Amino acid sequence: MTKTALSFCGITFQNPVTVASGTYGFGIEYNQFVDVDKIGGVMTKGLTIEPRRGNEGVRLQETYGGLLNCIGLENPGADVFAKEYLPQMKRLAPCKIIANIAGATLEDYEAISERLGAEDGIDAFEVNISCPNVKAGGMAFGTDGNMAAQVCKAVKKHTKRPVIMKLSPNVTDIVAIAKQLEAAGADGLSLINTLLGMAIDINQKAPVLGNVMGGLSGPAIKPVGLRMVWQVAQNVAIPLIGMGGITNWQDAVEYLLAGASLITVGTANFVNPLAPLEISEGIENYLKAQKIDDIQDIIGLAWRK
Amino acid sequence: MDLEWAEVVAHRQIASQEFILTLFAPKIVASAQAGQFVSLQISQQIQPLLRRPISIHDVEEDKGLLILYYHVVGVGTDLLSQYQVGEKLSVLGPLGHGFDLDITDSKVCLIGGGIGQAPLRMAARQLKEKNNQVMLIMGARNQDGLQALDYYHREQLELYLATEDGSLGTKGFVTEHMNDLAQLGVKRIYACGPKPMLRAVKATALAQNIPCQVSLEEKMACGVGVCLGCTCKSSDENTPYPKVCTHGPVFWAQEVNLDD
Repeated sequence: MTKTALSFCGITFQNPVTVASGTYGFGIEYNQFVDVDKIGGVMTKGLTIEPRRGNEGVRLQETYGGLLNCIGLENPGADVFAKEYLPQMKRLAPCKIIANIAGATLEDYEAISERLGAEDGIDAFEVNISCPNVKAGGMAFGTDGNMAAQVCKAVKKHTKRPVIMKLSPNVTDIVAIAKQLEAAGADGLSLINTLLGMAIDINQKAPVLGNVMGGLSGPAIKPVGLRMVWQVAQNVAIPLIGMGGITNWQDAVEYLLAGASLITVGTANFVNPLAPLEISEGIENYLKAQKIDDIQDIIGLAWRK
Repeated sequence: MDLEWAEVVAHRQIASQEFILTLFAPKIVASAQAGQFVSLQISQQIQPLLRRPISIHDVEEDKGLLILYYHVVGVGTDLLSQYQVGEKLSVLGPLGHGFDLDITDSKVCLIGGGIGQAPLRMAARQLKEKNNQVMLIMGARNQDGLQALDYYHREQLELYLATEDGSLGTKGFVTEHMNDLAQLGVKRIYACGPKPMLRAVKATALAQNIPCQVSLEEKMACGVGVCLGCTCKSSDENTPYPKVCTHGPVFWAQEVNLDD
């Protein structure tokens, strides 16, 4: 009997596959034709304390093996989420619900974790620190270890649920930031968020995206995410959620071997909404074929052996 | 909404860049409405990565056939054009909100520009079945873009044509034929085409006081309302940006701001 269920930050996931914030809505949209309750966990669309309209103009551009987006954190706000969406999400059990939260100031992070921190139905928090800190000249919280640590402490103050900090790859030394977050009390880390990129329309001779720059996701970024998980896993004791370009079960197994306990499918969901279930099945078949009884045994195996 | 592996039943090139693709997709066809679209996974590789949204040209419900009319514009549609009869592709749909066809015994006008003609056939057929008098104004760059008109000719619908180069119909744009719609007794307009055309149609509809629906197009990633990528502008600046995939692609003209 192969065991693919595992405990992450004290929560039992029925399998290691989760879906990335912003790629599966609130889990209920795809439920019409996907058995979402069979997915390990759903990260919600990024939530802020107040509703946000998001960016004006073009928000998407497909690139070679990737997708640029500048949605701009459009979301209905913490209140509407808690009242309208969360009750529907609870019906997805045993799929775990991870609320992805974001802010433009430290106070924003305080406010949203205070609002949602004790909300029934949220299993854990994933904290987006790739957004610009408006009080620090727009520099992203996640690019500075001290700022990131402050955010982590602010969220921890208001919730007893596990707090998973989502790391930005747009940094010089991701290990240093990971260590600072571990010291600040983070229960786990998600990595990686999107890579900053852009595209130019050669006919208009101008940037394609309304926001000029956007986050690059998709198969194109997989080697970067995998490398960062590999580095961070060997330098922190807290568990990791690996993501970045996972498109099939082989990609997912690579991330597990690099040291991720859970993996997250993102852009691939747009192409194939069944990808999370197919990947989960693929991981299980791989473990069986390899005669590995417990998924825990392959986490970080590529550097542990 | 369903995800279905659909077999290519027929695939016909009707002009230099225009194709008619017929798929066997009974589950999707069973609930398809005029003006809705489907999203096709054209490649199993990473290029093109995303699905492509294509509007529903018409369906043959009793046979489970989904008919798509598309124009080759880039990598995705170029690859699509190479599909052979018997091959299968993953189809997600039907998606979005279609046309409001709640009108009977009236004169209605359908206006299509370029590949924007595609979603109008199913609407024309159903409007005719509801005993409406259907008039169509179709425009394209040249005659190559006006090769999917057999149905309208066969049904002897009132058809006005325009091409930019004058190779078929009046030389110029569809707007050439829009001056007297109210006088002709038109009670509703349905339009799909490039934004400047929709802007002109909306202005005409407002000026002549005719209720009008427009179908918009935007780049999409998911097609089902989760990525929030395919926004357009609402007439009411205080509301969230409408999403073309779920709130549309069909809107009442006054709901959306079509300015650049």
